[in-house]
Amino acid sequence: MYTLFLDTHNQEVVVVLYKDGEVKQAVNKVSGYQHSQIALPLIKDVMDKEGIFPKALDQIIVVIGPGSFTGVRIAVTIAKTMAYSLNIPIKTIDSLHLKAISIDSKEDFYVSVLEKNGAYVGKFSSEYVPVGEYSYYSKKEYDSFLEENEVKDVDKIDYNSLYEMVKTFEPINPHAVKPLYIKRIEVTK
Amino acid sequence: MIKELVIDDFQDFLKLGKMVNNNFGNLYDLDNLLNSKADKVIGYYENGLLVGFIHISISFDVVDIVNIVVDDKYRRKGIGTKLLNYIILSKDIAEIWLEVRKSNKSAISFYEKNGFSLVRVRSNYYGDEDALIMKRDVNMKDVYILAIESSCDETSIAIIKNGHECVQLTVLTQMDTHSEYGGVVPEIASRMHTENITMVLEETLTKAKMKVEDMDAIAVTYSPGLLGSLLVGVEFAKTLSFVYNKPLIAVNHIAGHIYANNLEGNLQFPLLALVVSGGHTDLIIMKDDYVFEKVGGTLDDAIGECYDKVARVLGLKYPGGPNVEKEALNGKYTYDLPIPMNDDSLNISYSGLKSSIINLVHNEKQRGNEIRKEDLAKSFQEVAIDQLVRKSEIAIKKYKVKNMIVAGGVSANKMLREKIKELTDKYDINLSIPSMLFCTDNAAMIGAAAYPLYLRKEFANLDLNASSNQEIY
Repeated sequence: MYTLFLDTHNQEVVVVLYKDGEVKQAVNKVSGYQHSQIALPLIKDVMDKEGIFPKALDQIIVVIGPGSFTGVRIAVTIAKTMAYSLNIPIKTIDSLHLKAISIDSKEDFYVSVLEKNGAYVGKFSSEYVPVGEYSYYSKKEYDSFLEENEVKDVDKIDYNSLYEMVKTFEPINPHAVKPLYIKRIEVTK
Repeated sequence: MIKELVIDDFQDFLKLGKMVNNNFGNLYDLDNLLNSKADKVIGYYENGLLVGFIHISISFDVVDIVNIVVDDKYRRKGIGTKLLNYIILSKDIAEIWLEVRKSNKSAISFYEKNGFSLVRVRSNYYGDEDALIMKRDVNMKDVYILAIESSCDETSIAIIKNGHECVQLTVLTQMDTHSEYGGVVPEIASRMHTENITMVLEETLTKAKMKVEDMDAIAVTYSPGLLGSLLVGVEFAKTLSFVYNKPLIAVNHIAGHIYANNLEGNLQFPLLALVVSGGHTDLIIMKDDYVFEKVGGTLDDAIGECYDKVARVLGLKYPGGPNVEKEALNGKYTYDLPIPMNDDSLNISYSGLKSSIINLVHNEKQRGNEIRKEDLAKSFQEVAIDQLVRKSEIAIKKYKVKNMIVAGGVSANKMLREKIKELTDKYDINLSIPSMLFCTDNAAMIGAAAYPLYLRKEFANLDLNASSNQEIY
């Protein structure tokens, strides 16, 4: 029972391969703006090392953002296409939730995902349930937000906790999988 | 009975040959023929009488048909086809080639029925007449290519058979969404591609009653276009190539517009391609498949860009091209506009024309004069298209082209189609313009352009990247 996890929401391409819930391979590659050139070769590498073909996959987990718009679309497009063509379940997690699950906290806490001109911020309960809506702050807004609030940071994503958390999620129809953008684009404002 | 001729049979061979050509004996050096290991003559006998033969020359797995003759009295009995099939079945061959006089319609139709297709035209091969070079691939199964196009605001997927037949085409246009903003918004286009692309695949496969497993290759537009939009198609295609273990073919969008003409006919070389779109206004000479030489084109704006600008100045809605054309239908050529690039070069320019229209509208407004939109649209269109026709004519004369094609989004313009038709009629050259369906952005043309690359096994890897501006020439 193999699960493939993909994340391209920031400067890194992350590929994790689980077998029966256990992390077998976890690789990340800093790519700058070359996600497209790196992502699929990295997925193939990981599967080659494990000696499996795509048909061996049973489940896909993908990070849907928020983060770099173009970056997120790379993993989302690969993941939904794989899930659709292999006819396997796909589950999604957002990048703020992904960070939150690696944090131990007795009370509600904030995490953020930084981008070029600002930051996405989300509040979570100690049980990792989102509290209220996620926000996007410009650099300036985020600086003043930091003066009032503490934002927890994560050194390393705990991929085992991630797997356990995602177990409780419902699979999504691959056609319906799409990025979470949060930030509105200029023309639609 | 069919058998290979031996030395004793050659009197009969000469006798039959002379029935079709008095000079037949003189054309053949019998000694040479008998001693050649490459040459073979296969005869067809009826009641012990030689009534037809095929003379072939073999080099490894390639067969050249030198001559094929059937007695007049025994025609239309399928003897020619039987001789061909005898060769195909008795030898381990990959290709059969031949040349035939362009005027020999019955022979050409015979070869076409037997699976030969035109490769190119050889000028003045028979002294005063052109030869058609035709080829048949033997034992080659049908090739199906799944093609993907997402370079702008259309999510499109097609299934193309043997590079020429569109088995299925789905085009999901986002035009209504973008028209709210007066033009394509790249970020919105990329978002919509991501959301829709697997559904477009499902619809295409369902309608065609086929599976990705049935395909021989996956082709995708990798350039030029909107980077974010191209990336969605490229990642999608690479994923399919990876999951199904199918070769991946990277196709240039402009090559796609040119090869769209293979969906309803055959490219004939040398050809002149006039590529006209929102990003291109180019004159390209092709001497063979995938040999592109840019011989002329715009020094500044593309014609499509100019149409969009004029549409905005006239207060017409997006997309500019069709709306300016519609407006011009009721107009007269009354405004005096400068004639761009009125010289013998193949250079084209649209920025001067654009500026003069902006200035004209501005000045008329300042003077409090009403702009006659339909007349200005008509005047602009006359001048804009006349420039393309003039430059195409110079290229036709200079490069002695056999075939002219008009490609790109602006080839949908009716006035351009009519004027170019007049031009090609004048020079008696073949004009191909794809039907409307294959003119605007679509994946069928990408599949057609992928086919020559498939035959040459020019495949891309999983590290294929999209590029906004990779030219083919």
